[in-house]
Amino acid sequence: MEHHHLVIDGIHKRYDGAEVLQHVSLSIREGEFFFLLGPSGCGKTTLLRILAGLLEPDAGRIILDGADITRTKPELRDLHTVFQHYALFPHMTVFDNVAFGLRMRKEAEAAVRGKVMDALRQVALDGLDARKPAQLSGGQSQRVALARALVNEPSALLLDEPLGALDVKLRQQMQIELKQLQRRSNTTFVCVTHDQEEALSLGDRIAVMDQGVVQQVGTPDEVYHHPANRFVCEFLGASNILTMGGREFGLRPEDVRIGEGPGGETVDLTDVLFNGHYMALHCRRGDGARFLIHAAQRPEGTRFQVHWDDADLMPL
Amino acid sequence: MKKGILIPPALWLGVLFVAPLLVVFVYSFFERGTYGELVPALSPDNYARAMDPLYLATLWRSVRLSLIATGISLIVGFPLAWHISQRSESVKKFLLVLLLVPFWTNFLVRTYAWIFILRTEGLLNSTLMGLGLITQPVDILFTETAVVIGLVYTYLPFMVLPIYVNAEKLDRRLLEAARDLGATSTRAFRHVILPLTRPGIISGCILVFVPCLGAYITPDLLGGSKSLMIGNLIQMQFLSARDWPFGSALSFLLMAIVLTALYISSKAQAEAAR
Amino acid sequence: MKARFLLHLNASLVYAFIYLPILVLIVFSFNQERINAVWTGFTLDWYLRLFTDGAILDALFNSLIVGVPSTLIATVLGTMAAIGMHKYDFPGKRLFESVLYLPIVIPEIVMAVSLLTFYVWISFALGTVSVILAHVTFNISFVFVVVLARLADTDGRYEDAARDLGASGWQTFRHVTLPLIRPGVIAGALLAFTISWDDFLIAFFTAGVGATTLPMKVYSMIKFGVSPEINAVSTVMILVTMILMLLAIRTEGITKTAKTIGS
Repeated sequence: MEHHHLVIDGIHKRYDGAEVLQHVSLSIREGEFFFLLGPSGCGKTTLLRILAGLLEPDAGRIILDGADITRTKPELRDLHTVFQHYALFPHMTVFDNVAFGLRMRKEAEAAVRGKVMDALRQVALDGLDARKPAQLSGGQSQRVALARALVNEPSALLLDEPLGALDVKLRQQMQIELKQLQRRSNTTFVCVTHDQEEALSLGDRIAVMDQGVVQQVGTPDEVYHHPANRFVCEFLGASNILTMGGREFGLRPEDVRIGEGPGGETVDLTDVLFNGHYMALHCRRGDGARFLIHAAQRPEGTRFQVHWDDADLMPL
Repeated sequence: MKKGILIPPALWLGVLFVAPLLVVFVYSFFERGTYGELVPALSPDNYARAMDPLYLATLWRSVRLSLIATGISLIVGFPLAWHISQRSESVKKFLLVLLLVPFWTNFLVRTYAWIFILRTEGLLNSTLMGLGLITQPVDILFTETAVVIGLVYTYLPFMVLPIYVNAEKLDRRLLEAARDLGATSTRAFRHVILPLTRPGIISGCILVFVPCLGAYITPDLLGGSKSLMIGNLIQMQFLSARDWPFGSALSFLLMAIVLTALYISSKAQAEAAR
Repeated sequence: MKARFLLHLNASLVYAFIYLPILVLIVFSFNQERINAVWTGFTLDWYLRLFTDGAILDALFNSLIVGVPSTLIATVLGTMAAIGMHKYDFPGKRLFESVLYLPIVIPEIVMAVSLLTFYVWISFALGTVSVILAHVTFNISFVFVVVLARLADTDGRYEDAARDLGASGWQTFRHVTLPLIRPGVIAGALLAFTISWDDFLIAFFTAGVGATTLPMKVYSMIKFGVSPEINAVSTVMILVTMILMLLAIRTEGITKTAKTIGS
């Protein structure tokens, strides 16, 4: 039986008359890299803040390592957060920032020094301990924020859109580092993001949320190839929705094959966009509906046959 | 950290600010006894007395001089604020500091400086006579003119700053767009600059007009007995005439006028923001 | 361009207008001649007289006795008000906010008169304490405005981070909030001291015998007659205030000060 490290049980939150979280329940396993994925306003950040203790739920419980921490104050929870814009204390040096949590717990200065330098080494910033946050780049600030949280060896780490403020190249590099960091520290990571690529590439499991409701929980493969409903299908990457026999099916553009085949149809090409390693072919089906194909090459002409494997159809 | 943090300041203000104002309000309905003592009554007599032409003249003078001072401050202050806002960063800072620092020197002292300059044997007259421009000294001190000079001198920065804050935020590109579309300088001014700085102008006018209304030292030192303003009138009730109830009524009237002016301006601000 | 020239001219004239009286005052504090504003020669006599004039030294002393305690108390209370108003929401908040802003807006004469009436009503003896209490009352608002402006720039994220990392409410306040608002608190304190130092009207109404402050003394000197001694006192007062304000501006930055006043 798996060890459910962090249990979210029926969390409900109303804000300004709107139901921000509707009886959300999730079980997160120890050592998992867990993602809360969804569009803005779906409630994921609210849920994270409730986990951190910065917000109180209207109903439900949070259980960490078997203990009910729903009413525990944030400073007493064994959870730490990496905030979206890092929130590094501007009036303290990098060293003092990272040492903050340890000092609040009144740990001996000698031990503090050792742990802080260790944590900075882990994120490859050990030369910068005397700098102030204003003198750091985006990537460096992010790493300090990580070190600051991890140095306290929390039961679980909460991350609020950690890579959102970084530019593309840096983000890709940080994604790999983040994954490695999570493995090495063997800490449960709960990460909030709206970037489905990030969730799919880094997550062990993903909870897809919309409008305060968990739409599906599963591994990246599960949510991508077996979406539970239309929302999940459309949110995680591009898709086509086909209605057949009164039921809806999802079809990924990369699963469409060009040429004659069983159960195929004729489509008309309307636009072609070059995406580097594939071509995005925007087409129209016989009934006028839009159809998207991802192919390695552009086919001849503007009207051609396409078909697909029935196994690739995803019932919704 | 609880909301309790607000209790000490709230208590202090309640006891030493709100309560005294309430006491004044109550006193305004009392009457003055024969020997200057307070006679509790509930008469609006004092307010009626305030409507006497003699006192109304003083009230009118206060309003009039305040309006003039505000007008002059606006005419002189607006271009200055605009001018500063168009300069480079370091020049802006320098000019602002230059503007503010004398402003923070003692009020009495600055008013006294004008006495020194404007009196019969003062600097102005000595210089003008020394240069042979006049033969008789000019009488400026102890006239309404002196009061207005003093008021403008004191409150000009209050007009300049809000307009400056507004003008600084003005997107230069709007002006460029207007020019690009064919507007002359005057047109650009009227249709772009003026409307967008209106909130600052309104703030500035209120920040000058209100203190001018309640001014005491300026009319006292520069105006003499012929140019009394409300503030002086109130002071006289408390210290020489010993008619505290009447003084209280006048104070409350002054407060009412000030609060009305503030209310009107906040409405105007809301309008300008649309 | 003609407009440019006019703007420059206007600016120069205004600055001349602003500085001329002050410079005149300072220059003539060294003048030998007593009555007329005609320069007859340089002397430090008037300053010497100043430093040996017992009444003036007493008044200076009183100004300090009033200024320092009232500044300390007002700074504490004003900062508390700013923190509370920034953080919390509660019914009647707008009303309380108006009460906090009112002392700045209300004509000084009204406040002076109301305090005098109140003191008499509760039979509180007029002396130095009565002035200190009065000065605290209006300075709370000034400190409040300055500190609130500084707080408005922060958004609670640092407090969140501190609590998340294990700091209690009090620890958060001590290690995060306070250092962040310290420049604002200092600027507010300097402002409060300057206002107390300069106040005439309220001291005039609430001071008892023997509690004459410097501005009160200067006022009576002016009423008595023009003399270069007044110029000398004025020059000293100008210098003190200028230094204090330059310090405050240095701490908070000029643009911030301008914006605070502007609002």
